[in-house]
Amino acid sequence: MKKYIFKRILILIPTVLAVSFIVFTLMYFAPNDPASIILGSGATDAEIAKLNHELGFDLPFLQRYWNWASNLIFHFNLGDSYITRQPVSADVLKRLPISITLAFFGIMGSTCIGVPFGVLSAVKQNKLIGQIPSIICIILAAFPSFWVGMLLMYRFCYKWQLLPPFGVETMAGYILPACSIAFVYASAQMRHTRSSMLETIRQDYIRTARAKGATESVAIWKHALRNALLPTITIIGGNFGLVIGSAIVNESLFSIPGLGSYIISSINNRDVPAVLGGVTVLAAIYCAILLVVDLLYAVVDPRVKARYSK
Amino acid sequence: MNELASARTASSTKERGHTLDRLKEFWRRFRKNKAAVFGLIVLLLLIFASIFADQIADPALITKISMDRKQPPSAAHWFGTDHLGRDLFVRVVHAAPTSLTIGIVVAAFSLLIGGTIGVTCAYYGGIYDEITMRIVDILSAIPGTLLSMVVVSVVGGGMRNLIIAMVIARFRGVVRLARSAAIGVTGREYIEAAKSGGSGEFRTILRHIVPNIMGTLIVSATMSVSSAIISAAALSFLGLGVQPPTPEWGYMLNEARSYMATCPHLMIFPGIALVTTSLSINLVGDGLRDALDPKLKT
Repeated sequence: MKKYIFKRILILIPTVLAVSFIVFTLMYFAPNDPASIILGSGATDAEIAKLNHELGFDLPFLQRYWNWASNLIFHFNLGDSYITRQPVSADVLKRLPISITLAFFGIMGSTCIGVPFGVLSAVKQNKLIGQIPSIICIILAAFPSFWVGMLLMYRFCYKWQLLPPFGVETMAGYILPACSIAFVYASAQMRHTRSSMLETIRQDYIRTARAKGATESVAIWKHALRNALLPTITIIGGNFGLVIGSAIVNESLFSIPGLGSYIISSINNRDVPAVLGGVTVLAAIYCAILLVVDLLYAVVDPRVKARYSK
Repeated sequence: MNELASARTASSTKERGHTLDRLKEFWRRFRKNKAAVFGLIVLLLLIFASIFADQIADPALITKISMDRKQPPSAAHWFGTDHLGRDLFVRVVHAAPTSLTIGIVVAAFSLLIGGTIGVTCAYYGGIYDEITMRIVDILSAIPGTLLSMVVVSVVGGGMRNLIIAMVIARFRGVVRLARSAAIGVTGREYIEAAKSGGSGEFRTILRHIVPNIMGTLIVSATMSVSSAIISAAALSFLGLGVQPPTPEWGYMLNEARSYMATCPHLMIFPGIALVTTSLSINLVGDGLRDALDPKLKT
């Protein structure tokens, strides 16, 4: 088990570096150089060349990447932003908690809706009460989260004026964006819970439990539910990592200063170090979460653990 | 040798009859799912509306600016008018072909590229599989929206570039799916039988492996049409997708943001169009899954 964890962590490092290299290569082909964006259209060619030189933008492709990567590997430094000249790591650290909080509330909401309804629709699959969640789930999956966010914003911020439409100065600012994320991810959560529960109900050990005289509710709530929820952990973890990176639209709609909106504005400014730093941190978090989820899985499921320790 | 050849022709005629039977059986199963049939009707209507968009609403009105700004829905303007006095109904109708095209083309290319890579990985295995899957793993560490955004920022906005960016962000999922589906098939006896019967690599993949995993892939591709439409709208919403003056639902929603408090109809109608489209596609995909593989119906 220890060897396995060690191996996984070791793979994580080259993966994250490879991600940064891909993003770096993509950004290399971007049409504008940072200096002409910073200085605007009034600047002379000499001024632009000078600033580009100061930023290290005129170095060869691989050398620029090596400078950036070696700085990260040896000094844990993500470099300085082209635009603000401030260290990228400081900006990222300031915004990361906001994105994580938002993703946390969003995923918690989707789990609270998705898991109970998933279980319900599996257990009562042939009754009307079990089919309603499935129908709602299909309908929910068709809603874009930013439109849900807009509808919520209209209702709660403009019509009823209960919640602030912009920013996260108070915790109340998280409510609507988290709801719009939860709303959309709930359907995926429900689908997975449902199929996992259905699979578990058909297992031999559930039949054994029933045959031994366990009542239907004991068989389902005691024997089946715990086993059925195991795969659900993977989905929750995976979604959490995904939401941190893909809540960009919600962050932009509600003007939340999270990592997503930081990356968007950096992309628009051709701020290569900022984009690289942001995406690399996101990728690292995503991989780390997947790793933790896998390990957690081994902790709660002895069958999986037995496979690793071989 | 002759016998073999004639046996082959005979089997292919039989196969054709068999295919027809299977299609009929498939349609019979699909028809039973009322929601799927409803979705199919709505989807066909939407496709019809996209093809005849110019006949339904005069394309000259798409960008026609008037003094009737921000009017609520009325008999003259069914969906009202936007902040420049353009008729919203005309714009919503003319945005349909854009979204549908993006969704279908992105799903088709992702299926083609991802499917080819995934199936060859499963069939050949070894170092090729190892390296390809490593690359896919690495690509998967970047969230899809983010990857598309970076690509768009490099190649620029517009419909064609948006499609390229989205295919890059989406084919990796198809590789995984096609690979795992094909691995489940390659070990089977009938593949061994086909190989020992003298079937070449190309033929084995195309005639024996692909048809057996096509159901899974088609269902996922159908579902991905609707998620691609939503992602494209999200990118346009961020200003990174289809560029004005081309009408697009996501971009219309972006414009509606500034007038949300006073004219909610600007965000209601493009949103409803978006949800209707993706819902109808999801319903069809759901029906396809049940009809193609009753075992999967849970």
